[in-house]
Amino acid sequence: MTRQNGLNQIGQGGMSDNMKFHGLDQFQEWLVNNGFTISENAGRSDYNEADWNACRRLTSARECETNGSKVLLWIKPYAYSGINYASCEVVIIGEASGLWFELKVYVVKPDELMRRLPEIEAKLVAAWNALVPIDAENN
Amino acid sequence: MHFYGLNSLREHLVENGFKIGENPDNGHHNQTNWYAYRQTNIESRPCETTNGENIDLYIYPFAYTYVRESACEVEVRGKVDGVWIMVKAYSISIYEVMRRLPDIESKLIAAWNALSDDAVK
Repeated sequence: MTRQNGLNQIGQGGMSDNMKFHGLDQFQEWLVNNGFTISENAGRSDYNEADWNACRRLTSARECETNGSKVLLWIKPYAYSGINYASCEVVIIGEASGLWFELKVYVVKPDELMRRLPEIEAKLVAAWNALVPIDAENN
Repeated sequence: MHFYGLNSLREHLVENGFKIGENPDNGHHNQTNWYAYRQTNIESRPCETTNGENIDLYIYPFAYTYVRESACEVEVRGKVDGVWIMVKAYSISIYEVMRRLPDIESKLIAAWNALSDDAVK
């Protein structure tokens, strides 16, 4: 059985009938194969045909003041088959020095993210770690 | 253009070198219609799409008088090594923005400068 809703044609191709979530199936599978957990994106807009987010714990990131070592790398996909468009955001959220920060790479094509994820992750983690000088953190 | 909402914050920002622009995308319930911006004085890597100058700092205010809530977001955004990146501090009270803006700005610029390949290596 195949879904004929057009979502799989947005530069992604294949799909799995076992998937609970929809949209950009090949990208979703790739993320799962690279250690990400998939969950529902309940807050997406009505026009976004990808109904999921992906997240993975970051081991090299400074701790969040609220969530401790549970600093996550989030992938938020966007798919609009009507205009044959797909992109995603890569996000870190956390608290440092009493302030909440969001660090985000945006309008990245899924193909580009699959190719450049280690580099993009390294950039975001470096930025997150640089928000507070290590000396200040130890004082 | 008539700007409205959080007037004391807007005046404080203008006195501290910010320019004010209209925020046409401020959301239906946000009772401010402006944002503030200025180029940072802190040495910073330029955005790849601009002319090599320091990055701009943006402040977006939010005010909801019916719930007596107000807050700000302070952000920098630009293109680094071919990808668009935003670094943002959010849910900041207007009093904290006025008190801690130099600190917030230095944190955002430190993060922005750490995004480059050279910094990551």
